[in-house]
Amino acid sequence: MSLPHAHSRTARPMLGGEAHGHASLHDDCEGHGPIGHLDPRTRLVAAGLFALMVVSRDQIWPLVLAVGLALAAALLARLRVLPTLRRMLAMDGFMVAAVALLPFTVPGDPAFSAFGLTGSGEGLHQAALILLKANAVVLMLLALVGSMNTIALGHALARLGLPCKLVQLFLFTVRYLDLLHREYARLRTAMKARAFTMGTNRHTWQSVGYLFGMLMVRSLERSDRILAAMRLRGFDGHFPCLEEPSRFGRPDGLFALASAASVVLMMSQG
Amino acid sequence: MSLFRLEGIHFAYPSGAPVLNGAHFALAAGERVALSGANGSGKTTLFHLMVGLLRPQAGTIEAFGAPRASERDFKEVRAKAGLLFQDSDDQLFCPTVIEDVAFGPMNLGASRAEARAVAVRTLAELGLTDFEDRITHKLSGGQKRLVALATVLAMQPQVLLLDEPTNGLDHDTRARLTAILQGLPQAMMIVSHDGDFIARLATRTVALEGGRLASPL
Amino acid sequence: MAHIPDGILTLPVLLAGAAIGAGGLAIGLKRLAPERIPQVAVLSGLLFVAALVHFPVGPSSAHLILNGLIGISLGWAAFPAIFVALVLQAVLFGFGGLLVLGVNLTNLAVPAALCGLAFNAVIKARPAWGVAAAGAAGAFGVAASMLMVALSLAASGREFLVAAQLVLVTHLPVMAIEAAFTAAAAGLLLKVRPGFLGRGAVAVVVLAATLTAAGPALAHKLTLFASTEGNSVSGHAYFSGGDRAQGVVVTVTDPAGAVLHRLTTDAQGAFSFTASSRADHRISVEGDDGHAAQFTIAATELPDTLAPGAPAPDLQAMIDASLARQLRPLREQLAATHDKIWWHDVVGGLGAIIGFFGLAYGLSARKDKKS
Ligand SMILES: Nc1ncnc2c1ncn2[C@@H]1O[C@H](COP(=O)(O)OP(=O)(O)OP(=O)(O)O)[C@@H](O)[C@H]1O
Ligand SMILES: [Mg+2]
Repeated sequence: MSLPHAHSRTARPMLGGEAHGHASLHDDCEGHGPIGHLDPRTRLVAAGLFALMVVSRDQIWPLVLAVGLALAAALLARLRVLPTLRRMLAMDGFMVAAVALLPFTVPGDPAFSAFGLTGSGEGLHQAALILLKANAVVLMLLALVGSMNTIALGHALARLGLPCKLVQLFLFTVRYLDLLHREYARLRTAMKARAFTMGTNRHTWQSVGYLFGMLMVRSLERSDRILAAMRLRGFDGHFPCLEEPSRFGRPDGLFALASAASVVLMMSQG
Repeated sequence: MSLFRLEGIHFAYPSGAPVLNGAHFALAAGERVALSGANGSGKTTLFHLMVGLLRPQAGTIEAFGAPRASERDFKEVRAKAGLLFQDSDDQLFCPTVIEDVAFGPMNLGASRAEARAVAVRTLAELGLTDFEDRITHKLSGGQKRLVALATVLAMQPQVLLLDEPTNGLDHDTRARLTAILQGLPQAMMIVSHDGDFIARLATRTVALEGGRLASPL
Repeated sequence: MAHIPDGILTLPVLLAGAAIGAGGLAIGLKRLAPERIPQVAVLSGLLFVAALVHFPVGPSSAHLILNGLIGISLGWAAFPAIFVALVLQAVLFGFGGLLVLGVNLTNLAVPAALCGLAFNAVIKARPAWGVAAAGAAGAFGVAASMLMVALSLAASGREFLVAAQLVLVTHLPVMAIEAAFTAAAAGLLLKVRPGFLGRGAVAVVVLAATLTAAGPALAHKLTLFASTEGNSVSGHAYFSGGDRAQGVVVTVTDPAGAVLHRLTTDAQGAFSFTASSRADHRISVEGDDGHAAQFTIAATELPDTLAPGAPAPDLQAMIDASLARQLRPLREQLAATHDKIWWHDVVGGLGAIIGFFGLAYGLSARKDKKS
């Protein structure tokens, strides 16, 4: 385990592996599989309700059922198996520690011993609950929302009542991500060409600080240019909130029914 | 003995057609080789392969007398071969000129004071005496070019890989750069579309075409 | 970034986080001029990219939290910027979760906003201290965030206390890294784009004031415990968390309210007196700031030989005494557990205060918009 925390398993592949960074951000995920036909709002609301359900259950079986449902959703959304697994396994290092320590910190009947410490059955139980909950929510989130085009997600958030400014900020961020990431990669490559390697020293921290400072300066300048270009096109300090025609239709109704049914099923367990 | 030897290099970007297709090349000490080729023929890519910023799908790279394959091998190479990027904005990232020029020497293990001294000396050699505390980001394109060259020279490399060094330089500055490069003992490879500049500097020319390197007769 | 996944935190903690987060978001958005949206978006994207940078720390690695830098660049707008980055990370990478968004936002953005306030104040008074202040902001951002992560965990249950402590300890090196990093980045910004940092984003004052006011009040809850040994009664007064309360006045009364003894606790917060009658003894302590605690020694705990005068100890009394001696640590511990302020009380209280404040602010923002 790598402390303080490690996202490396997901973050690294992003750099090169997954079709150059987050090409996957805007690309083709939407429209694949039955989930793709649903209105983004339906998917968002369903994910939220599912999370609420899952978090409030405290028995193993309903939670196993929940993970099963999330898996089914992931299959319906045609999520790719490996990247999804990698994302699910990525938890902050200290969170892994928090869960792993539970058997030793929750008082109860001794169930096993490791490293000269006795682990309690209750602790194991609680750790299992947390793992099931965390993974069920993440999997469902990736299946229902992560599979959505980010722009569509922004619009869906707007129509669910998120403030217009926040949605505009979201959309702008999505637009900048790729630029920022590429600029970061270029500068980082150039540093490498000058024999820079990461170490545990001030020179490293300072250099990366400069790198990010420079990234900020350049992106800010770019944002100035974008703003200037917007002014040229008549921007007067107000963003029109984008309206999209509602896509809520029969598939959404069916999906809503199915979700409601599964929620009832989950509630009735245990 | 050659400083660089490339054998049968094949390379393609993950999302594209092959760029290099069995390229062979050797660079000997004291040579100044001009690398020519159309836009998009793969000159920049070749440079990046030589210092290990990209890895070939097939072929071998030998540098400074040893085969180079792993990241650790190439770290050594990068300390001995200085790459001037085609776009100076990729290369310069520190607030002030002096910090940027001192960055390389510090990566090679110099102390802050030593690195600073080397940087001052290098800048002086390039005629950039008053530039130390200038803000890199606010220099003109040509000034950035010279500072970027300084960042490379400050590492005292044995080989210089220069990707379009005269890009954006005015007539006088180009003449000065030509004189500076002529005075340097290092072996170098120069990508340039500037015939006059090449004619003054290069000892031979190789052309990159169809993913292979050829010496025009 | 520090992402707590779903399933760990309890509902009150989630609600408190959501309330604070929503309040901060409302304020941040209200202060965000539409022209600045592209700028804030850049910073938000930067947060996202920062998750890619791994610094080696000995054999392991750490990555940037970056909320110090975001805070000094954006002030209140750190709330929306961090929110957007968190949403994107949750949705695209499965970092964190859905219902914990509020808590994660609060943990990162409250320290960021505080950094912004402090930094702006420093920059205005002493422009030359900018870089140092930025370094401090970098370290503070990490420290405060991790403290809040630890609090969120601990408030969700005692069993997370160890993990909470682990969070704090493991982030000490990150603080050093982040300080150097933020100082460098801010140094560059101050030089290359003067005027970007420290353009008087105004008051996080209310938030700061609320935090500082709530802190000590909760930290000083008094607790009292006493036990008997024969006819001598001794006990301790301590503050929540276990610090002994020294020099506190202890009053002992009988059931009718007549004062039997008046004492002061010693350096260990201990006091003792000799009971002269076999009756209920009400012991109470009162701290300077109005906190009080009470404990009653029942008449039955005192030897029945007591009432008329001091008797010679008999066998029964000796057994009682020894039992009392042995039970004493246990009882003391029980009392401590029982009366200790739960961290979720603290967080819940804070959450409520700041949440109401945020709600009020949000409502006023809506009113403004209507008019
Ligand atoms: N990061 C990349 N990803 C995918 N393809 C790339 C990438 N960089 C370059 N290419 C492609 O590889 C080919 C070679 O590019 P390269 O930059 O090496 O050409 P060049 O000879 O340096 O051109 P120029 O004279 O314009 O600088 C081009 O077709 C280009 O489109
Ligand atoms: Mg090129």
